Amino acid sequence: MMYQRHRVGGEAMGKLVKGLLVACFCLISSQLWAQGTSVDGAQGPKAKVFLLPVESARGEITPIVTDRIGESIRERLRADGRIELLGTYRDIQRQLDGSGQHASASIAEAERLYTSGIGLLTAGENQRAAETFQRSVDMMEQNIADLQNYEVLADAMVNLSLAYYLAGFDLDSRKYMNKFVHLRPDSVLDAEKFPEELLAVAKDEQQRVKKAGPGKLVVTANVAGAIVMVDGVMKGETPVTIEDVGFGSHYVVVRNSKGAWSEEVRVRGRRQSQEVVASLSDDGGAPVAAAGSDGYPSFYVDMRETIRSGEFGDDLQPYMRELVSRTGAQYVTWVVVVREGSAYMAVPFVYRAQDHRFVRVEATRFNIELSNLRVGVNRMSDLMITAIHAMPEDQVFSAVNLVPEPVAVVAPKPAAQSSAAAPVAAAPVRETPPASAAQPVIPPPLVMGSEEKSNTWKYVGWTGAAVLVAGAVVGSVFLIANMNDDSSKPVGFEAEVSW
Amino acid sequence: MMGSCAFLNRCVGPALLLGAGALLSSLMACGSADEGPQSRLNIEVYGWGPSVEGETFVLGMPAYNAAHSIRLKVTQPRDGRILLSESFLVADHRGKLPNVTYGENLRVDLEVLDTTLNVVASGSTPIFTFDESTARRSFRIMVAPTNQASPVGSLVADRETGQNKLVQSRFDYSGLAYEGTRNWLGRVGHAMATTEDGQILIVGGGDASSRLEPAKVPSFYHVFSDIQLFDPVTGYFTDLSYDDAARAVQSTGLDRLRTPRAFHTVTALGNDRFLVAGGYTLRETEMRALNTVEIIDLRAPVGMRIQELSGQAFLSQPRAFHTATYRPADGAVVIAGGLSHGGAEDVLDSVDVIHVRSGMVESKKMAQARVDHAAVLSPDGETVWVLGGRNKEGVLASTEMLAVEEATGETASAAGPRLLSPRFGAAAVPLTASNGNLVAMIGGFSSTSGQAIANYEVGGFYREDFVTDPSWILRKARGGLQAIELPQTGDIMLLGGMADGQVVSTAERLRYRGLEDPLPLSGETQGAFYQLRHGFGAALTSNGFIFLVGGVAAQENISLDNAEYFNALDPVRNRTR
Repeated sequence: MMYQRHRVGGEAMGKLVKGLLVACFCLISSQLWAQGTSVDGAQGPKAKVFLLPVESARGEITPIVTDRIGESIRERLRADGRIELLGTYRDIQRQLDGSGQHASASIAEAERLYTSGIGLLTAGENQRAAETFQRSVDMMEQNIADLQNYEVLADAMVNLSLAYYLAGFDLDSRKYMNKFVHLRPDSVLDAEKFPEELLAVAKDEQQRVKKAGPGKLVVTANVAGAIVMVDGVMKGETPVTIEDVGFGSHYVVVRNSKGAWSEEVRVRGRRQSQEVVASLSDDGGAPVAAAGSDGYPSFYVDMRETIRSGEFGDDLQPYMRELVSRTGAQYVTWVVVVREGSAYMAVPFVYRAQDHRFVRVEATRFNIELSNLRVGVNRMSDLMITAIHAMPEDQVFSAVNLVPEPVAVVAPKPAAQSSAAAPVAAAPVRETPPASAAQPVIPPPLVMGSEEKSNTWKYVGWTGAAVLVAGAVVGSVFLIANMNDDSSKPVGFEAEVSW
Repeated sequence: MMGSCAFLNRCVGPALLLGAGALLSSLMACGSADEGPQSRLNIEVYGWGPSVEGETFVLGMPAYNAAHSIRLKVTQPRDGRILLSESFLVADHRGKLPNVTYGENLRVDLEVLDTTLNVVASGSTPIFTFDESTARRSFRIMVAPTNQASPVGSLVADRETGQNKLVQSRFDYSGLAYEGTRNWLGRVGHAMATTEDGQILIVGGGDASSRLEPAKVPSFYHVFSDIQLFDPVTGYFTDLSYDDAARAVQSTGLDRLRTPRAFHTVTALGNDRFLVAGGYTLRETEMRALNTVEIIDLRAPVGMRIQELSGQAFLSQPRAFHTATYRPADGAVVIAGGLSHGGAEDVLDSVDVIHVRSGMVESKKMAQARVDHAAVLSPDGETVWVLGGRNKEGVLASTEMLAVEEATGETASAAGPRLLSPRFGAAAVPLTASNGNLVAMIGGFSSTSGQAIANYEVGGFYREDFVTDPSWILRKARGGLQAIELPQTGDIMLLGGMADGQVVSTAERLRYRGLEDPLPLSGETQGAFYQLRHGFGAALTSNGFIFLVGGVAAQENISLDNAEYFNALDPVRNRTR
């Protein structure tokens, strides 16, 4: 810091402070104004989004570039209040490793919710407890193929029933008590904890189960030898007939080394036979996590490999389904970077788990020095979030090819043997690549500097104006101070070096 | 939008006028100073270089080959700013900079240029402040050839002639009486830290009686308890237990470590306080690992500068060759891995978190035992990343992140991305250009037999993978090296180390080319040591040189008691703002 040689008097200092306050106000106002709609604070549940690492098509760009873009996007998405950005796959793996027994982050989250529900129920917050248990049960049911500890599911159900009862939702309370009894027909409920009315519901359903007697499930699949489990208990391999399944709702999971299939089955009892047909696709359907390189599951490694190829589409579906089931994400988004001359084009994509739909977002151009990294990432992140919320029809795709076809140069065809035909030009002709079902290579980049599409000029204008005002005040203060200053003081020192 | 534009238009005109007014007023304010009596900075030069007697210290400028002109620059290195630059002929023997603006964090840099304007030698003052209250200030600066090492010089009075002469600096022997009967302070396994005024602490260490080899624990003739303070302004070492007022070493052995130790750690805690932890000491003839910690407080009164940590905290296990990293987020020091009593195979998997303020020690486990690993701090000051190393099972590629868990408030280990090559004795350098988010793992050994690695890989906090490329190579494979990132250029200097049982004699400069470059760091061989040494300590000094101290002379296998500077020219450039 350089020393200021002028003394600033009290009055002048006051002016300086006021001036700086004005300048600060202008700066803050300009920032808020420039942010415009970005501070509107979206309400309602946030979409859970999983961001894959940024990839370079065919690995032609150094990972440092893709990593820098990826880090900036992650930072930006994380800071945005409109979505909930999940951790990296490694983070989620760590979470799973920490619990030691979960195969899915959703299951881990469901168990956390269950614990939280117990706390709420104990605290007498029945409504919130019911909502929390409900989310927990829903998550476990949605990821039933990964659930290992059915005790948690059963306990969540019976506590959900109690919470609903205490909150005044009688029908829901009965429904979940019945489901609990189907899972644990011989359990004895704590009479001190559960009200008589609910105990009576449980007792009635237990009698109903007993009266109906077990049913028979004949489980077949398109793949022989797949393991069949009912309510988490192994019952054999496909095809298999299971004789003693109790009346009511039960969870059937069929699994082999390549994938899993699951369904909630309502068993009719009375020794009746019901057929259950599981479908495991030949290519694995949802590929199962065999450990791949660096400890990642092979589906994850393969998925990234596919994305890196630059040519993908519906072939990503099984990977996406597996990723979603493991991370609990509602959306998966990723960015592929391709080199275009002396620039990088970053193309984002979004997958929605609800309807298995892919959309492609407009590409963003980064210069080779990445000096427009911040501006580009801000724009790209905004577009990605918009796409997550809108999933626009006109951007849906089923196949994409980001690697340009080589431009073939063909020799001129010989002229037709017709005297009437005009001679063909001798120059080579550039052949247009054949139209395909794939999207165009890269859509035109966004224009960064456009006033209509960027806030940059707003920042510049307002910040510049604020700085000028502040400069005027400060300059005036200096002038005033200088009038009273002792100008005989030296401005600096003399340095002499001898060698 | 339209309304806003109109408003903007209305504002810009008056604002421009006001700005112009401000500029004019400022110019008027600054332009009317009368000349008064000036305060003065005198700088004398001495150097290491050619003279009629060969390569020697010279009072004045050595006769560097083809030296033609001298460029003097007044800079603010911490801000990356050149305030003034003037050139003179070597034959002038003197250069004046008449009107240097007062300031803080100033430095005067001197560059010796040849006729093609290449810098053949350079030197700098330490960083200093010169304000209105300073009447006069003097420095004596050392000039040394670029891209090679030179002995650190200091001016002493010749006992016989009474004349001043320049000699290579050695440790301060005034406290030798407390270090046993051997008349030698050469050492390895010392720990170093920089004080807030730019001096360098050299704490403990031992005089080795065996070779230093990868994955082996050396034996010692003697282990030291002294603390040597090196001042780059003078080039002198001073024993901390020397009392200036009494002009003698304190008779009771105060201001020395309570337990002599080597291969321990010294960690800066701020405000010139340092935590000393673990290490090996010598009991009879046997090496014993220590579980004790001590505090060096340079601002405490003389005689009270070595203290015990409040609560008399101990490490959970005795250890040496561990890493210690200050975690600013909660003021704790995270001590990871290392070796215990059982020698090179007794590798620890424990982590001790020393909460300095409370004196409490929290003991945790890592997923793997490790020693000769690296540890770096995350930019947010919350996570310590331990990388690589070795244990009984072999050389490690795994890394672990040690951070406080929100749920429990305790430190826990989580798996980090794996290194692409298992390595121990590697250098981990956080890259300033990435704000410390990226870490380069450089060199190291791939096997306990001492096979060195000749590449680097780059990973980052919260990234999933390390990356490398066949072109990301070192000119010379080396493990057990020292690596220092230069603050101006971002280049990384690699010094020392071993490869296949031999001490590496040359330095290497990894030139920083940009994070977006396919080859972010490009290797370039540089000059050799003044005295080939291994196991030395290295630190960047405020005069811009790299300070290398102690170690073992490679040929003679003798512990060294002196120091040298490596001049890795790192000129200040005006940074873009």
